[in-house]
Amino acid sequence: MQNKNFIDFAITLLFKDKADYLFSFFIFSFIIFILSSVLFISDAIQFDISQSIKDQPDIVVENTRAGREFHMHEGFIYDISKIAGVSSVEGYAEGYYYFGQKRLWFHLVSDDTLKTNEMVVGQGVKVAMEEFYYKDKFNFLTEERIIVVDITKVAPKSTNIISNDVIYLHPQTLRRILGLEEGEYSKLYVFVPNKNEVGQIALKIVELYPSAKAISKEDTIAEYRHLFYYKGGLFLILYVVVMVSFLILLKNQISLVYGEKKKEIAILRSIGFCIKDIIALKCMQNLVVAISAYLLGIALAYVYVFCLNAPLLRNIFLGTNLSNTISFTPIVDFNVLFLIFIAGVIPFMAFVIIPAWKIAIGDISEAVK
Amino acid sequence: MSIFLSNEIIVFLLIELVLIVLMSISQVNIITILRHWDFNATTVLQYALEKKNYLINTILYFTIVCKIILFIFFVKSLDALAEIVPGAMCCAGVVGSNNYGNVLLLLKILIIFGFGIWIIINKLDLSFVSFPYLKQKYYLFSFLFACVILEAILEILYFVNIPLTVPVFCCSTVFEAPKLPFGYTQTMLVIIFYSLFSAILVLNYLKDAMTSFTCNLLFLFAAYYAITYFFGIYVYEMPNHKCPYCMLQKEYFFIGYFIWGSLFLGVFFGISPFLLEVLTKKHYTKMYRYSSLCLVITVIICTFYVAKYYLLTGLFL
Amino acid sequence: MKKIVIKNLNKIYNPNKANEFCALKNINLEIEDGEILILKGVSGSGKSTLLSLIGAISKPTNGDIVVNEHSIAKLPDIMSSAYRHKEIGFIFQAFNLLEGLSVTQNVIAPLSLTKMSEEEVREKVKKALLIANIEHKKDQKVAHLSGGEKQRCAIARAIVMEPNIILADEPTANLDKENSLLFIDILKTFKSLNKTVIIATHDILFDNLDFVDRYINIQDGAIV
Repeated sequence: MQNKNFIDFAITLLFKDKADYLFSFFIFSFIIFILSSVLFISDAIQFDISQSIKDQPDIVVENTRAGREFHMHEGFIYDISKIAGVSSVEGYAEGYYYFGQKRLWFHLVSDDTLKTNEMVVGQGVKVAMEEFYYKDKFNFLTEERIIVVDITKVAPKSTNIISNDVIYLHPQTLRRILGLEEGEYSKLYVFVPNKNEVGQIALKIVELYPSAKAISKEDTIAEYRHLFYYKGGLFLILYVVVMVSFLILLKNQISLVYGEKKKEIAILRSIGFCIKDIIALKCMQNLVVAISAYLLGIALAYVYVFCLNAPLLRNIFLGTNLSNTISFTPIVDFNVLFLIFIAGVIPFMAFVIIPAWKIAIGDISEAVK
Repeated sequence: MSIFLSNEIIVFLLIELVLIVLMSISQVNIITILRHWDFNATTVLQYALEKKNYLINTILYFTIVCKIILFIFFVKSLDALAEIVPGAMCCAGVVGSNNYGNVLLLLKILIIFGFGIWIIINKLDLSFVSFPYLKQKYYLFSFLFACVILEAILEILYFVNIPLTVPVFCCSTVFEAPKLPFGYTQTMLVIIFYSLFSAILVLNYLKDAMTSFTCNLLFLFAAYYAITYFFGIYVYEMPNHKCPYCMLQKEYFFIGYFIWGSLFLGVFFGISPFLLEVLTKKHYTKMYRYSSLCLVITVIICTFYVAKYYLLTGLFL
Repeated sequence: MKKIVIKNLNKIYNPNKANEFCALKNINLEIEDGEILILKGVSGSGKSTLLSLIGAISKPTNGDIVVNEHSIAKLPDIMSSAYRHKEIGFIFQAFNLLEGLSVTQNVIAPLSLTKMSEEEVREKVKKALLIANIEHKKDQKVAHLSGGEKQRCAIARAIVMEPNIILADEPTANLDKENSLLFIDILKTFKSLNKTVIIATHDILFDNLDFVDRYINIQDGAIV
């Protein structure tokens, strides 16, 4: 019954009636396209983040006072480096600068390979500054003075999400802009050679300085993950609702179409096709449509996300803060494809069963007269 | 943050819901069929009932294919969840994170077995003119439907009870050595494993339905423990890595699918002749061959890893 | 050998309803293997109903039909379809071809249920097309065929599985005289192939044909 001859014949009939299947084919492709695009973007961002975070220190310590971020002094570095298992502690100054004209916050990070009057800016920063005609230099405004710094370089696109709103400055310049003294640090980077001890050491740091926060690398990754998890999850629920509505529509449409096909089915029954064969025929045809639409949807999503950088959809995940000149790293995971397949093709086929059966059991004797 | 926001869980529950709706439609039709079925009648109602038969068949074939896919997907989703559940490093931690996990897995496997039996009975029923096994078939379906509802409830309970803030145990704690079931040692497990296997081969050859059924079921449990606590460590080549799920990963060439797949198939073919006899009062012995074949594959793969380790290192773990 | 035995066959449409209609009343008939039988009667006399019952396209209200010593009256769908597939070749008045497909594709339709190799399929199709004299139009879409050609395509489809029984319901109703005579010629080929043929018709061209074994008159659902 289900053999090569049968499959060939099913496909012949499918192509004969292609117009009837076009509606479901295109809409289903579109739905798969949207779902895949979202999942691809989400995965690409997570991948980029975990890649960037890999090189970060094992524990990042920040201090608070009255619940707000506050700087730390040398004593912190001394005490923490005395904890067993810590190999080294480095202090860094960094912070946020408010660019009033555009109502944006720039993230200032120190980089001592730069000269004091140089800075390297992220893509988004460059674009924001250029809007106000700051092309080669930029004026940082503090309470006491204006500090002018040359824009020497723009961070490469491949550093993606992490560097978009970042400005890299010489530590001295940075301190002057942010009003930090020598010996005052915004962040401490703690290096712990034995990964299994990270959790314990973070706890010890907080015991020493109860107002401090000790964030391990895993926590950072988990934090980002939760963000996408939450957004991704909500989106998926929305997708499910839309898809179910589509499928109900599809079922009605199929039933309508099949109503007109009664005679054809009756002819097939009269030459020896049994009810099982007709159901198998219809299911096979719909499976071909579903799988082709799935492949088309995935291919289009791939082009949309990784070649065109997903205009419109990217804002759901990245926010519209700074003009996002980010390109997504093409990574496609088999698990994601499998998930999309299950989420799309199985419900599609489920909705096809009852219309297929209804038409298979039609009375033949009236139809073939 | 809720477990129900995980992509995999949302999709999984969606498909389960779709399947339950389809099975409910079938169940409603089955009730009608069981009440009014009379093969010798030539009424319009009777012919309509025969046609409904085909709907139920189609729904069931579709359901079993989906259930098998979903089972694999379930295991993979648990693996993905391992990243969010604190303390879990692979799905062993997630499965063991509450009391429902292992029961749920076992129930899933038994339901798939049940569907398998249904498909065999259906095929037999359709090969005769008068649908002789119709009633048995549909009572079995109703039983399976009840199991599927139970499975869905267990799933919800399981997902709701996965702790997201308290760390769970990972496999090294769950499958710790002193906690071997019934206090057996590894040697005993291996002896039981091979003895049961040999017994099954003999019984399959003799085609003794009831004993084969019992031995196959026992073997399912014995093999689970043997593979987890003994053969697994040779697959991972680590004396303390006792986990039934890690062998499904890429690092071990997905060998887990072959080991568990052939085991489940073998046990299924071993227990079906007895169940079929109970339901249809006839002997169907072809399946013993398949059972033996599948179980031989399982044992060969397991023994291979032990032999390989011993030949390479001259030691046992 | 008795190929087809019909016993006390009754067919009632819409039983126990206001528009209840008795199409066949207590039909008893025996047909030999290789016999060519013509059922004569006016429209509505029950000829088509009898054919559809013999072809297992519909089920009788009561009575039995035994073909090759197997009862086909109450077969479940899988078996009645298998019977129709292997034993019966049906030729309809309205041809009942699959529009949008070519002649060859229409003729292949019954073969798609078999496990034959491509080579065998090609052989069988060629043979059927030659007997039906439509081989020269094998790649033509059926929508572009004339009435007579469509009929010949339908014949090719009906005989491609080499069934033993051929049922034709008013085969010449939509044909002109020339094509009708061509059809009668093909009937002679069936005779030489020793097929059992039952034709329901009220076309006078079928009267007094020498190769026809029997004429049966049906009136108001009963044999007269």
